[in-house]
Amino acid sequence: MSETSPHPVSAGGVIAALGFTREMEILRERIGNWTASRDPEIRAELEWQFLSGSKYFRPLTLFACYRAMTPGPIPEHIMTSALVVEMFHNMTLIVDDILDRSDERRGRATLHTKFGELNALMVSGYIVADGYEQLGGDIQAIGLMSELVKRLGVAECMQWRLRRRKLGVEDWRKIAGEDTGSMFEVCACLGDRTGRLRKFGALLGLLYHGCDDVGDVRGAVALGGGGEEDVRDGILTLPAALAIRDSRVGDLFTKENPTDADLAAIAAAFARCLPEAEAYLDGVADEARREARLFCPNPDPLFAIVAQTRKLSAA
Amino acid sequence: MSGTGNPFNDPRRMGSDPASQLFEVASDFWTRGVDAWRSALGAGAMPGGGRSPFGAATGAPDDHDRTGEGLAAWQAATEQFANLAPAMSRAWMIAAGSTGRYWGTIAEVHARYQGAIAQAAVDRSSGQAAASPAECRLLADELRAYLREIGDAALLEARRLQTELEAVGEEIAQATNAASLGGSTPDPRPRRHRVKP
Repeated sequence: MSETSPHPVSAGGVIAALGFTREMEILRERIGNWTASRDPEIRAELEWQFLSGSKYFRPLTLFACYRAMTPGPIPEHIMTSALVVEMFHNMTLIVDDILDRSDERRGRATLHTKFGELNALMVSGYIVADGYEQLGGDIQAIGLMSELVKRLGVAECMQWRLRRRKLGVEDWRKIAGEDTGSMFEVCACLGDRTGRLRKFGALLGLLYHGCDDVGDVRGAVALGGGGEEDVRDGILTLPAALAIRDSRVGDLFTKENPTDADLAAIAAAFARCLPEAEAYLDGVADEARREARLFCPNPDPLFAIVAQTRKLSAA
Repeated sequence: MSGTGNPFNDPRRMGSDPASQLFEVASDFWTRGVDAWRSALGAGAMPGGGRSPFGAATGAPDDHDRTGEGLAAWQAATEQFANLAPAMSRAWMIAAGSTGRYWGTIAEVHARYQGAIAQAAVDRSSGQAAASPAECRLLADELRAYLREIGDAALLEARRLQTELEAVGEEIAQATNAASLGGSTPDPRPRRHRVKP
């Protein structure tokens, strides 16, 4: 779930490309009103977390899926779903940052760094509880958000259990599909409400995860490293799954305590696999576009979000 | 479904094996269906009125009108059948096309992975694993991708077929709805939900 590297895709650019400027203004206003009306004891934490330059890919996916199936303005219940998706996403970021010991996100201090771990953990729980409350009587959305939280929990455990092991691209696909894939899958279901775009959402999530993996390596290579946190933890990213097919790289990757020289060699091997990783992601993007073409009356918003997501892997 | 109307609960069938039971039930349903159509059409054509297969009431106040209205209902029903025939042939075409497309995809996936499959077959026949653990892992990964894609192809085609047939089904429903209202009369309570294309 990490999104730590600098990416060339700005929030404003994505929103404008998808044509949801007005909707995003409304959503930002909803987020602002929500944080402003919470308990004063944690208001500062919420404002710090939520008003910090998100790309809003998840709400945008939700809006795009709605628009792909139904013409006309975004209705209230879809807007609320988008708000809650952004809330739950932020909960996962807070927990991730604590686990990864990340000091910064989006160019500023992480919540636990600024307010302490206790506050960060309590805020993450508060967000989930309040998210469900926001959904009110939208039973379908409640079910989907429950599915999401459960799948994300399982995916994180699976990803941690499978670290530092010689696994393949299919394993990466499974992990990514349950991790980021489940988030976008649920966004798609919340947007279209028929289940027809579930597979599209899963593929978009897989694409997002893979592009983020590749972008991390590219960004770190530009800075003289190679996706260091994931390399250090032995996390199975897409470049990792491709690189460890070489048994020498695999041996380094599975080392319990790799030296700096080992990490540098692994990073270099990951960088060599980037063209193959990009080609693989092109295939995933094609699959997503095919889903959009086959299963919705207006696939243009979905083509646009696939294009924007695909750009995330660029240096 | 319970009681004597339910062929599954028929005590006469309790002793027979499941396969024959299923066959008998299917035959029963078929016979009942044919009888229902026959009596519906017959009732429509005969003096005394009745109901057309799509629910248009044909009862009339006097015997003189009954014969005429019954005939009209029978004609309406046959016309509706004629109108539905193209939709049904389109449905068959869609199903046939889907089958062809599915096998085409399977062949394409198979062709892409034939190297890995052949390697696995050779290893099995020679009783040896691939040359090294790394090669073995790569082979396993490719075979898993192959199996996933085969499964994905089936699911994709099933969903595609379902969507296309639903659209035809919806057309039939709309046509039937319009026909039962006489074609020119606007429906005072139109169907609110339509299948999304």
